[in-house]
Amino acid sequence: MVRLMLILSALTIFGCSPGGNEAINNEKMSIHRFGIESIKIVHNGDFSGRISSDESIGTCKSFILSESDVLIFFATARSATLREYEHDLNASNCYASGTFVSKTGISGEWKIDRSRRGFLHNQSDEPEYFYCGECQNPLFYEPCDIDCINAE
Amino acid sequence: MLVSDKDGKVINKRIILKIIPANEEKSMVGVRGIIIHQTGGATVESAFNSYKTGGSGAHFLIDKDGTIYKTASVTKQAWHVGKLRSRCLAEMTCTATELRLLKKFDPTGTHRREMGKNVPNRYPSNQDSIGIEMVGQALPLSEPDPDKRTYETLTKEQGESLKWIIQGLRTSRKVPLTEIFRHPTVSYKNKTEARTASW
Repeated sequence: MVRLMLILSALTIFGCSPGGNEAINNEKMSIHRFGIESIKIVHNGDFSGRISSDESIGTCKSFILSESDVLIFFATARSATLREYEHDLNASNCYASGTFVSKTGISGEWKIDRSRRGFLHNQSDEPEYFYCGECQNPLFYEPCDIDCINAE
Repeated sequence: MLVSDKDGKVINKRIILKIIPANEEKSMVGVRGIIIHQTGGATVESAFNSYKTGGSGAHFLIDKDGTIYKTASVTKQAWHVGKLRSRCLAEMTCTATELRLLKKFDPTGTHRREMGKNVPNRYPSNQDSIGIEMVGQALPLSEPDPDKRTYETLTKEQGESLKWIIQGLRTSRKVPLTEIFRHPTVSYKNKTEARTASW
């Protein structure tokens, strides 16, 4: 818990990501991205079965994120368009998901998959989609940003 | 019959030429397959706009009314496939060594190994395939998780245009039926993309 509070404080004070200046330079300054007060993990190491992939339920069991992993992901990730998220980027059946509360009291849901895609959503707003090529967490597959689609 | 000029631009009055330079990458070594996609957007304009940004794109785009747009030369690569899945795993033809390597799920390593093979031992890739996209969303939009959405059914007009263009490409580019795939077959995608496409 102390570790989590330290991460939250650092993200609040500096308004930046552990991945560098990418977040500061991002034109789309998401309210969620800089305003998450807390998160709760509901599903972890789960298998969706909705992606055409050779992953199994067993493959996904090792994809266990901590609360700080989730916060670091959303602080570091770049925004993605819906087309990128649902068509261009690699997708994975392995995911973690849960709920969040923003600093302004808005609650919503989040999801992160093993291919480094994630989204934040609350009922009164459009979902925001993310991709984290900079995340260092070894639980993720190797990053493949634009090269996911231009792979040669 | 689809005829191409010297730049690979298909000439046929049923096809509207709308080449988008940002959608054309380097030269294609040869056409070995065709990959069928859906755009995820509601309109043809949203796909054009996406192509113009230099992200993903395809060679042909089919609107809901069946209109066919040619958006890249078939002699140029368009980025439409992504990292390849293992074909030998799907077709149960892997060697013992490949099976051992595939035990650890690793999309990048799998793609690298696949690209060391030639079609038909791997799926067609950006290097050697034509991409055909149909305008169509994954629904319902009220579902925030796109993985839980289902791509809409192709319109009758789209279905007819798809069959017509594939027949033409099969003849002009000598692509066998066995090398025509839906996007989720060859890469890691929402399983429902192009599920209602037939050819």
